[in-house]
Amino acid sequence: VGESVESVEERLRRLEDREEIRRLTQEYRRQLDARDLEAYSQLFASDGEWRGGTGYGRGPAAIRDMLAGRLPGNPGPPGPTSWHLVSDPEIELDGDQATGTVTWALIQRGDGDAPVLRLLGHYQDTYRRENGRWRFQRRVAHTDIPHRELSGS
Amino acid sequence: MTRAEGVEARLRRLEDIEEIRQLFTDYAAALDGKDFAAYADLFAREGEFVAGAIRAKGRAEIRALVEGMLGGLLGAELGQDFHVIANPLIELESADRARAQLTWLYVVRGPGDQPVLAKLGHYDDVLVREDGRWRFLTRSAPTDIPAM
Repeated sequence: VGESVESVEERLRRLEDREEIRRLTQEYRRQLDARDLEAYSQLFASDGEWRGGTGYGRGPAAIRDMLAGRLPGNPGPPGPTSWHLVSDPEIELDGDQATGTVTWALIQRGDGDAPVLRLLGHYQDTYRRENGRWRFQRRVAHTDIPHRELSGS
Repeated sequence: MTRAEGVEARLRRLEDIEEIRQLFTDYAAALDGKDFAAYADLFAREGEFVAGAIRAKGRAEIRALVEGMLGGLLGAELGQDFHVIANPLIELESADRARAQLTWLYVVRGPGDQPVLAKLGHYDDVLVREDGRWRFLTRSAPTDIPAM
């Protein structure tokens, strides 16, 4: 009986962990598109890293400041109105750590007021449970179409 | 709370989120399958659908509204238009009530049998558990692109 309670606890925890990580990846795109970079930066662990075409940052404050300086705004109509679509993540759990891969697409309001698929890429993620919450330990944003090589490693 | 009650509550939460995600896919399937009776049944008795100036309340009104969109806002024939849903964010507010936000894409069969991204918008939902299953109390479906 003791064994079965333990395994129920573990099985439940795994499902909760997956659900929380899914949610983390959705909060990321929501705060990013809303350009709420303060809330966005809080999704990273205290020494969490972000790397992508826009640059590199380590720690929530540094990531926020780097993106605030370089990321174009996201004005609503008649501006471009960017929307990220993110796929369900492929997640590998390992205790308080996890890795994941997520496909992303960027859609903008184009000429003729129609949605245009601008970019397609994927995120390579490492997640960590910090103070009881899953956060990004590392997120690398690769752009696959059009292909762009990330500088550095 | 005993351990068994804690496990029960945690399991219920996961089941609720899963069921709500399923509701979203059922919605797109009923809409694209043009099964408007099934579509209307995904709403609560007092359920409401809102899209800009368009508004309908109750299953009969909602069904009549979408039937009236055939050949206009919706393709007249099966297989000509598709709703792609993404980005679900679900907040459980109580045992029987939740809120959600999603992004939708409306894809149609274009010239040369090519897919065309016709529109992009989002859903703002209020969900309730009624008669043992999750349903829409309000589904608001604003279009974001085109904007004009």
